[in-house]
Amino acid sequence: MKKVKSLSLFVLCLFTFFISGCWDQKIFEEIGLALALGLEQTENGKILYSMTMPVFSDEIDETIEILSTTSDLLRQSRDQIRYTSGKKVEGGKIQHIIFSKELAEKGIDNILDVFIRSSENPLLANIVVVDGSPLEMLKMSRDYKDKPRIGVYMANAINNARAHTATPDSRIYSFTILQYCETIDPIAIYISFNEMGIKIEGTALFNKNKMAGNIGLVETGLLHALMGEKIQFGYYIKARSMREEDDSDDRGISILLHRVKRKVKTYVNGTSPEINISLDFKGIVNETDLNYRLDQSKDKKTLEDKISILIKQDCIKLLKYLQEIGSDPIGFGEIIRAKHNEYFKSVSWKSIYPDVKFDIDVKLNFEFYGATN
Amino acid sequence: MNGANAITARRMALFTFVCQTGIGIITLPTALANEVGHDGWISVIITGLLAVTVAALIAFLLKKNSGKGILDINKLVFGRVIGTGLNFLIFTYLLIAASAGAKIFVTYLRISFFPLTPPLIMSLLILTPSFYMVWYGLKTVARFKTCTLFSYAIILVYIILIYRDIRLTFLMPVGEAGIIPLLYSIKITYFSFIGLELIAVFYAEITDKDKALKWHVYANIFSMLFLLIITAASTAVFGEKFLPVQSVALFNLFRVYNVNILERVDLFIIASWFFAMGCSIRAYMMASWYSLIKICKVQKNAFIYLLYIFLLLIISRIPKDINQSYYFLDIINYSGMGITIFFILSLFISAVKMKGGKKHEKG
Amino acid sequence: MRKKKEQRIDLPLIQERIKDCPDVKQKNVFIDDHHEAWFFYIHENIDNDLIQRDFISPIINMTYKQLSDIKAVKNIPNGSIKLVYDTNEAIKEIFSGSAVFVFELISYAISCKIDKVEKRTPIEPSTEKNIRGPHEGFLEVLESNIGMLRRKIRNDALKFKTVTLGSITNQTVVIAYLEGIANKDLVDGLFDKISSIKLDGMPAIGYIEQSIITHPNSLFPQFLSTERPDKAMAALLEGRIVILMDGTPVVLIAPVTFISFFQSLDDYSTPWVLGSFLRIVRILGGIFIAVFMPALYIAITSFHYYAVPMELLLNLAKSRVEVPFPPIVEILILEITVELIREAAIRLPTYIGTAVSVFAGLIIGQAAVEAGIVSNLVIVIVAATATASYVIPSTDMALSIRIIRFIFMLSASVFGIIGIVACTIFVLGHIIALDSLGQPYFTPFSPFSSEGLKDSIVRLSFKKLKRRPVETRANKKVRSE
Repeated sequence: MKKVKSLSLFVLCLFTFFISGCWDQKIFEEIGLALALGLEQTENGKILYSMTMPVFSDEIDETIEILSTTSDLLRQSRDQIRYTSGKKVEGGKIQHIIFSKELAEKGIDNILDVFIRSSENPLLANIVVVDGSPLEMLKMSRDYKDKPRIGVYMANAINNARAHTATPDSRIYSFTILQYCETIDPIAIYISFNEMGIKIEGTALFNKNKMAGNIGLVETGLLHALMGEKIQFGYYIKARSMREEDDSDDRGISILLHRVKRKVKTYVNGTSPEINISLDFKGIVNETDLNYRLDQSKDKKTLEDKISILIKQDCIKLLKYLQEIGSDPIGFGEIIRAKHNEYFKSVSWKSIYPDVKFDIDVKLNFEFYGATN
Repeated sequence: MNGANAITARRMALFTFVCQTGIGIITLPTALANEVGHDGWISVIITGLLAVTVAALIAFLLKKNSGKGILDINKLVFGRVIGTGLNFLIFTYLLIAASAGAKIFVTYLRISFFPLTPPLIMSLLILTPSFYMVWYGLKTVARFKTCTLFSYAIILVYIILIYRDIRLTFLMPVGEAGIIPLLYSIKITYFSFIGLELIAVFYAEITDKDKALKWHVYANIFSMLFLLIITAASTAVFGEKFLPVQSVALFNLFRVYNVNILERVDLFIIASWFFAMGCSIRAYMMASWYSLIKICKVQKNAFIYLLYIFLLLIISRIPKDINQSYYFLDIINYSGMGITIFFILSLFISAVKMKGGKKHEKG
Repeated sequence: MRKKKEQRIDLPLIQERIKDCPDVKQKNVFIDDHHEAWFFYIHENIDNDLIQRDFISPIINMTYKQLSDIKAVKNIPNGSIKLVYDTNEAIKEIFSGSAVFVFELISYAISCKIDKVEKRTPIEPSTEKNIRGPHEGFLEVLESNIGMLRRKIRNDALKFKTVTLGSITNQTVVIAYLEGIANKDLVDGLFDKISSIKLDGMPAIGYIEQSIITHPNSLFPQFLSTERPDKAMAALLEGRIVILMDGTPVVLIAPVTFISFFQSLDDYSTPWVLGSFLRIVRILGGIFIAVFMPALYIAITSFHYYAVPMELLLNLAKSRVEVPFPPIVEILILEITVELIREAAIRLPTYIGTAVSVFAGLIIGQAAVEAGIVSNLVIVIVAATATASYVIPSTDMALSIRIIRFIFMLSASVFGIIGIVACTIFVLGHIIALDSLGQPYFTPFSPFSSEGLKDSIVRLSFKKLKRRPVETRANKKVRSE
């Protein structure tokens, strides 16, 4: 009798194991893996949510599935999309979140909440701002005959651009951290698209959580140098800008800047702060047709000094633009808060920022210049 | 039974270290950010020094009490009846601590990976290995802690890997919170150091008691250093404004690193941290089971063990949601402080009595 | 007179007991041409030439008076002459392979062991091959095995404690140890345990192992079994104890640790860097790949889809879309097939075996994928796992790892990565709680021993390995210079 009882108990337990099933199971091939998420504004102020998922079935011709819906909350949109797609749409593998420029200018406020709250969602997705409509871009990408699926294509393009400091490493976590900290303004990847493909344009600059402006590829490199981050970008100078003797249109020099040491000193004199930035670049000469003997120290030094002046001018221009649009991605506000806390508490940084005086000192050194001099 | 519970001083230190840091580390950065902004790491240092002092005091008084554990000492100091009653209170505290730890562990699991799985099934899954090891005794439980050291190594390596996301300016200006809030925050940080009183429960089982004081102090110093590193890293990465918003700061810290091929590593690092969290709860389970056996003065037997497991699971079902679970943990925090003070008093009275007794003998 | 009668060997009893045993020969001889006496021996197990020359011949030529003189009897030119006073013992001797001379007029029987047992040549065991070591293995005959060990350790410190076990089979079991090095308490404890085994008989050494094991329900082996004399010799030199049994070439070594099952002679016979590399490959493959890979695959494809790398994502999805089964069923189909093939391969003759493995590889490989039963990533995983599980030198441990893999897979299919974590904690806790002959099983990791670590995952040079392993509790901790 005891044996029968224990055996039946065991069998019952075994049954419960199999009958109840696995509550959180997400079988891989049953899931619709959203790779890119596009967000834009509709006319009546709601958010148009579009998403692309790769298709793996042989019987379907298209390689990606594009779905879109309109609602107020992201999670609501995802649930709505599930009813159209045959699959269980999950956002765990999202590679890019693409905002339209208009939505970015209006403000990316709490849209990213669902990504932080759910631990399944990635904090590593790229934040991208597109000049145009994300839904149109996704639809147009279907016609890119010589490119892989849009999710993969964009990921490759962005990674390559990052490797050359043409666009920032802007992901959900860094964006949100900077949004919350309020002393550094976040930045995002800025792209455009046409019938041939997508193009990385540079960086989208934000003032708090509203997009305020954008800069190009080389300026992105300089911005990263000012932020003190790792850089590797090409800098192209026309002979004319250097006031050379032979300043015909086709003469110039192309260098690769691949290391920078940044030193920032802040002073608070009276009401407005002064910030001294010194940048020490290391570069390589890639291509030149100017008349300089790079193996002669004097010549090399002259060239380096001339280019340093140009870089300094570009940096000043960039900083002026940043002050104009009220965007502080370099984090001067944070540095002032850390080093001159009393002063920081007594002012409103955003109103002081346009009046800050910058003094930049740029040094450049060519480590080597290739196989010829 | 004695053989199964024998433990060296070094292993007792490792036991204490893992017990303290396993669960306490997860919410500590958030709680401190709420209270003192970016100066949480200073609070950790202050509380750490306090904990080291308290730990040294307990170990020193235990040494003076000729190698008995606190359960025996209570009976000697307060008499059999009151002593047993007080021991029973200690057992209740340890049991509730184990249950609360189990509940919060299951809650973190469900937040991170499995929101829909019923909590009872989840508790049975993760507590079964603990039940198995606690049955075999303190020796097995303490030896297992050696295997959890790799989780700590992984976390320390990870902190080094995310150096690019660390902004030291987030930790400045140092001391902005002010002395009074920092002192108030000790009561929050102390929760991470609870576990230092367990040496009093197990003191009789330590084989090389002369080294116990030294190693116990080391354990608390290491706990303080580890908590300091994690708190400072979390604050430096997230900033004092973003940190209070998060409920599991440590796990969110694991989500920010991008590896070349795998992309996300949080799954594996959180899974490895579950080893340490499980060890933390197991420490309290062992302490409560050990004290139950000692109070009831029986040999370990399967029927009482099953009752104990049942009781543990029932108590862990009491908090209905995460806020109640945190409330439970607060209760444990304050009880832990009270229990520590009580241990010190009891040990002190016993030491004085013993010294008085010795003087009489000499006289 | 009565005393003398009690002391005599009971001939009728012997003849009664050997009824229906046609293999026992009774040779009738006459001492002094007058008194009847008998020789009893098992014809097939005796060297007939030597028996006739060295035992029967001298005894027939002895007189009654000489046979009554113990000194004369002991001068019979044979090494193993024994005087037996008890009838039951005489019967035991007959059936143990001795020739027994029974003469009713003397108070004792004379027993002589000249056995000629069919011995095969000592070839290397097929399950324990290596590259740089000797290629010989133990035999089924105990004396040969003892002889092999003695040839390797030419020292009087090598002692063998003998005990006869098996209430019906009367098999000899021997415990070998190095006196002065092996721990006396361990030896005595083991000897007492073995002596108290009450079994009818033991066809294999596993019977002894299961009778003296402290954790009989554990999946992990607590004694290391080997057929190699060099492994036994190395174990003896470390202070371990070797159990040999008559009738089986497999010997048991105790006390051992978890890591002992992953060590092989090649680690020690090659320079330490190469040896460490082999060791690391074995442990990584044998433990991590064989146990975790299928379970991780199931956990990730069933629960944690976001952990799949981007580059693999599209290929994995493409191959999985065609498969109708969930990942656990897919892997179980393949794993069970592989286990069936493994079991079948043990019993098949070699020429069929090779054909079957090729056939099976083809079926499981290409055809299953084309039929849409499994995806190609699963084939790679199962093949890698199967190969990885063969790197473990000890077949007992390999079997344990195989079973554990199934447990991990099942728990991963229900609970994802937490199932894997919980199983790992459980298995680790179990290993830590285990002991081999009273010594902790997970040395040098869990009762942490820095000395022991020098010969665990890596094998450092002999200059660093001066001390004997801590689990043997050897009397002389330091090895010779």
